[in-house]
Amino acid sequence: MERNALAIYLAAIALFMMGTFATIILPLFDKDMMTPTANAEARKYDPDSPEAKGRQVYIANGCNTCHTQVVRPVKADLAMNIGPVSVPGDYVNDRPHLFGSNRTGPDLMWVGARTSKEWNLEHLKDPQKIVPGSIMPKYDYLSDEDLNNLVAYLMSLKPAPAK
Amino acid sequence: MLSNAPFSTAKNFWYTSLFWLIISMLCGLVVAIKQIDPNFLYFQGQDALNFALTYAHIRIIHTNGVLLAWLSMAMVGAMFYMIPKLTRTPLWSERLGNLTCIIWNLAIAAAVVVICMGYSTGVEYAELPLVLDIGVIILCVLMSINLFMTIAKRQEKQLYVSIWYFVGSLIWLPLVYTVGNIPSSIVGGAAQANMNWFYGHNVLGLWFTTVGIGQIYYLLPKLTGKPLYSHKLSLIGFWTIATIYVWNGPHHLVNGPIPVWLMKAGIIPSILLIIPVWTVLANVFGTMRGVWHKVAEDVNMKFLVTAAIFYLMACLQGPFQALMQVSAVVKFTHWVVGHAHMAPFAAFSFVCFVTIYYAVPRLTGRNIYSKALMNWHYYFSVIGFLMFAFTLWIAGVIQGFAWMEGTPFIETINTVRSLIVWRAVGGTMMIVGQFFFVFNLWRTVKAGTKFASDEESVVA
Amino acid sequence: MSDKHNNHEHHEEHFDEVMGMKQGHGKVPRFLIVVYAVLAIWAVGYALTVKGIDERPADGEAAQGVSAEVGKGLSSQCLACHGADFKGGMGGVAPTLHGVVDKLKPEGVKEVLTKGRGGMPALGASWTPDQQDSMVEFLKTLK
Repeated sequence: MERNALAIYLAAIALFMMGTFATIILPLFDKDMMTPTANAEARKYDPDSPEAKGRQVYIANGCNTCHTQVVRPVKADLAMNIGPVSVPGDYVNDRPHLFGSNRTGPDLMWVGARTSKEWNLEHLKDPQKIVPGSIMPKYDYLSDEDLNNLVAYLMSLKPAPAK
Repeated sequence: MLSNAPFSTAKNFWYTSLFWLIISMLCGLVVAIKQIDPNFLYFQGQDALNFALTYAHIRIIHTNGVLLAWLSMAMVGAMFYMIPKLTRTPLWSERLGNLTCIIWNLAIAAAVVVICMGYSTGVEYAELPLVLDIGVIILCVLMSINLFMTIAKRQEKQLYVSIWYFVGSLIWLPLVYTVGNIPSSIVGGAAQANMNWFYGHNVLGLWFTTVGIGQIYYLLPKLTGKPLYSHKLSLIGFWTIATIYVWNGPHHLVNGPIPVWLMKAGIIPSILLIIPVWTVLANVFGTMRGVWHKVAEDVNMKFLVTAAIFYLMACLQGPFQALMQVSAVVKFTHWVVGHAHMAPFAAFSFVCFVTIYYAVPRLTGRNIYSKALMNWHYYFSVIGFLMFAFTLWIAGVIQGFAWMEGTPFIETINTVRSLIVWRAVGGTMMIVGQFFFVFNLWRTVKAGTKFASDEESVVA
Repeated sequence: MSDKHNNHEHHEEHFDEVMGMKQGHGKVPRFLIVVYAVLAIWAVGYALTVKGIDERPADGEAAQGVSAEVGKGLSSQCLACHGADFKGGMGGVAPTLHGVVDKLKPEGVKEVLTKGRGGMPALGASWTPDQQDSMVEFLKTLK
């Protein structure tokens, strides 16, 4: 092995494939992971809808850099009262996923359930006016159309009505 | 334009990587300041400019710039230097190497423009759009062909441990990058998040870590003049990291919306990582036995040993954070940001600094211009980093426990506000250190005194 | 093929030279072998025994009861609009909450909480009766 670069190369690929199979391929066959919930259906936006366009604005401005969309069954998330714990099935129609990895600002998984259209619009244009001391940048540079679409998207982030 | 001079590829990769080092670290500072004052670099009425310079865009340029431009290019340069040196075979094609270097720089410049225009995929660390993803993979292929052909043409059959690491890294990078960037966008949802972190973590573990360790194994015997402590430890370290690391991705989603079995499939290997890490470090410290006094005399040794210590710390902190109970407190807080800087900056950037400091005199025939500046570079980097990291760790713990008590979010921001200011001060020191580094190298190339070659005597 | 076996001057152990790099044959330290073994055993134990964290109260509501304290815990969502001191915000759109229980009576407050009103979202729609009563208790403390 120590004399043969090709052997090292092939062994490296084989070991890599083992881990990839277990942590990437197997989850694709996990029912919990892949079955859409009612929340996922509610987030399946028509491509021309304001919500779908707003989601693109959310991505283009990197909202997910500072805001997660994940609610965990742990004390912090329950105490912050940010809505029901999210499950893998809630995200099935998210393309791309917008989990985020840092809460520079609060979680937005169910932001539509706890804020209003007017509040979001005002807050996006001048966060410090609404929440003194906020470190969120102003998004008043967006066009009215972009802002309205973004707010429509944010307001759609709420638990699907119980059937 | 495309030079065929020996080692010109390595030099060009390093010199251009320095530019990206400064640019992307400055972007990091801008982001740190924007967290203190959200109106920093905001210009009333300049809508297009404000969009280009919005927080998220600068942060994406910072992360991608530091990882794909500075650190990757410095590491590629190191391979283009060390592989011909070890195999005692000229690089298969310096022309192809220089072409790779040019395309690499153009791709990064294009990425900066594209990100500022808002064309991000929205997937953290994998923000580059598909066209550039394919570009990155082509670059990997170009560089792999060149380096493998060099290895294939060697005279001595036995391969030194650094080469094992380089060979592994050269195949892992394109594989990891492909999984994380290409099929994942079709999959979507929680499965995509899982693939996202497979990439986000493995690019660190199977590219930066492995090329970094390959460099340490090259530099340590050169700088100390001692044989590498143990061949057996080298073997154990390499094959365990090759087996274990690739499983680590899911630990980023612990307690989150993935099945529990998948969390455990990520957490267990994260803890087992202690095996390759401690094995490699036992090899490093075994080699150091009897030559610790060199750390006081030689700035390169200082950087190298400090890098090893930070590598150890990062790989104690990492497994610790992967545990469910710990993750439940620190995840999503500033803590993680502090942790995320430790391996790429304080461990592997330090290793790359040593490689460059070591190789440039041997390639240009000039001594490093100023030992004092090297020392300044060292102290600013280390002290700056410690300040940067500890403020974030403290802020993270405060945030984590405040959230558990249901403290209103804005209050938690107010609580850590002064810590975030000190983070920016630490970050500024880290950058100032790099200015010393770049200036020193520039003076070395322009005006360094003549360097007496030690190539044949091997012992530095 | 240039494995040279040399005797190092200061140490008895021999080393090889591979690609011009000297490498020794030091032993694997005993403590590392212990670490390998401990980690291997831990891994098996962890894989078999550990369950995911779920800190949600076991039977939904019973856990907390009714108190102003619980209500305060729920109030972090109110202050985004009604101001950090709950004295109103958003340029007067969101009114003060001081004395709101006297004005609307507990039933009226709960109605707004569960159904929303004007720009106010139905924040309490998913709350348990205990949580709604807790919010009323908390609002009573604002005077």
